[in-house]
Amino acid sequence: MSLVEITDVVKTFAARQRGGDPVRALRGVSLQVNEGETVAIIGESGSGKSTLGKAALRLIDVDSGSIRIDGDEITTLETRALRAKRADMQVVFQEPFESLNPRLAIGAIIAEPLQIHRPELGTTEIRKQVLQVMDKVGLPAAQASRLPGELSGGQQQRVGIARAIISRPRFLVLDEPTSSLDLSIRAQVLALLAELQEESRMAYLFVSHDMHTVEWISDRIAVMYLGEIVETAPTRQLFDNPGHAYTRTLLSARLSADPRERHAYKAFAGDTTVRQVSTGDAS
Amino acid sequence: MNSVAETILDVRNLAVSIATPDGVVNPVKGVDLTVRKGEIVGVVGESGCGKSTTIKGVLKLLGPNSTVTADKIELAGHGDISGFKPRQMNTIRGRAVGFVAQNPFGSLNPIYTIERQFYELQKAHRTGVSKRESREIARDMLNGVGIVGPERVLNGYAHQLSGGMAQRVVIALATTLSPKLLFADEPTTGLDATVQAQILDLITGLVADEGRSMLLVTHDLGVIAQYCQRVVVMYGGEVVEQGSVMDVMVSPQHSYTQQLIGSVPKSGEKLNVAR
Repeated sequence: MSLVEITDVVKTFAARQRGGDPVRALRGVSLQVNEGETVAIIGESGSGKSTLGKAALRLIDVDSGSIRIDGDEITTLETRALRAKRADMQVVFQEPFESLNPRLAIGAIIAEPLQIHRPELGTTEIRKQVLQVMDKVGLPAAQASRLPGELSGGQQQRVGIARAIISRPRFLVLDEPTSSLDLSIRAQVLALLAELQEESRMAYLFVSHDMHTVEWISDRIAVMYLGEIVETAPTRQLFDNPGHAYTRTLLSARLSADPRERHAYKAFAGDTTVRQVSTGDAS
Repeated sequence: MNSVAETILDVRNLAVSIATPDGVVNPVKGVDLTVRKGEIVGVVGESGCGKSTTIKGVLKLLGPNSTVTADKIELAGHGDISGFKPRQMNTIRGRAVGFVAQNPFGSLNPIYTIERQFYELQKAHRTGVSKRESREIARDMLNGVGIVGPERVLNGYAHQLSGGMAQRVVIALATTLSPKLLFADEPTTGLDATVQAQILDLITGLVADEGRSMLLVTHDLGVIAQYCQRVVVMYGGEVVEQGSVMDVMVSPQHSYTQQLIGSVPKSGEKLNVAR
């Protein structure tokens, strides 16, 4: 059995406007992530990829289906048990600054998960572990007393990662963790994530829309379109031999940084982005 | 590309300084760049390298706390515009040079209908344009950017559009007065990949079909490699390398360009991580 077992999960959001259609964000999604494995979810805005990431951590409740993490069914866990389970499953968000309390010092932010999950460690031990994890993610110890606003975007994201890993989770959801970072900083953070996984055998669910990033970091890729996973395949296979028409469309839209490689963008018949254009999207 | 194509824009020694409460900063320190007829030139670099400030400096779109100097900014048909006063710049913006910014919702007026925005633009540059005539032109322009059945868009407001649609409208506005040169500042950043491909195909198609030229600012090396003919690489307010896309992207000479290209994650290869 996989460390993360997501089976037939359904999530519908009420319509934003009265009389509008409800949004079927997840229409029966199943996915497994093994220990030490990185599974990427790719798709475009509104495909449901971030909803799936949140559901996998029970940051939102699902309508039906099962989500097991290390054997525990998290969709039905009671508050107290769920809280304890959260030490095992953590998240890194896209916007590092927005996910950090601007009034807390870096050291205090990183310490929070331990204060919640392992209060018995005591202040001195927690402080020691904070400094260890800061070192591990490449943050100088002197920054423990700084505020998030004093750090660069790349450093802020290192804080987000440090906070996520300090409770030694077995499962990490990474929701576009490098999308707001400059290219060279992105490379540093990706390399860090790969290194941490090598050491700890964490399972990563990596939500992204960037094909270059997922091609580099993931072992398998799930392609989401309109609330469904249309294809799951090992990374190499997905890129070399995409099975679904939508996957081929996504791949054709990727822009290689090598001018010798050319992809001509090809829309596919069910592509809503094209339909929007032809009918005028002034809804 | 055309070896002796006409030069459309020739910028020499452009510098921008901005007065801030903490002192003067110099985001652009002596940039030279040239755009020839029919050419798409990419300006690439990371946050803070001065790439956006460069094109805003050329168009004098920076705030009053900034100072722009240049040995010359030669715009074909208009001579050296480096000393132009705001009123003179107003005759150039929109008509000689179109501008497409990153956020289309920042470019569109939220409380005017799209139709009215086409009208205001034309009224500003041509006396005696009628609303009916303006609407005809707007309809043609929206058709030209791939919006089939533009009536609903014309009667609606910006907030009713998706990001991709709004950017199409901005491109239509930017090309309405047939400028020979387009400036685009991260025109597809924030859009989905498939929408990005559609918009870039559209905008570069408009350049090629009409014999226009474009200066395209982006942080995305894929956009440079796939859509530009020449590239200018900026770092710390300076141009570190420029040349044909084939030369610069395939065999970069400057160590910063090499590092930047090495930062693109490539499957099965180690990332070139700068420390």
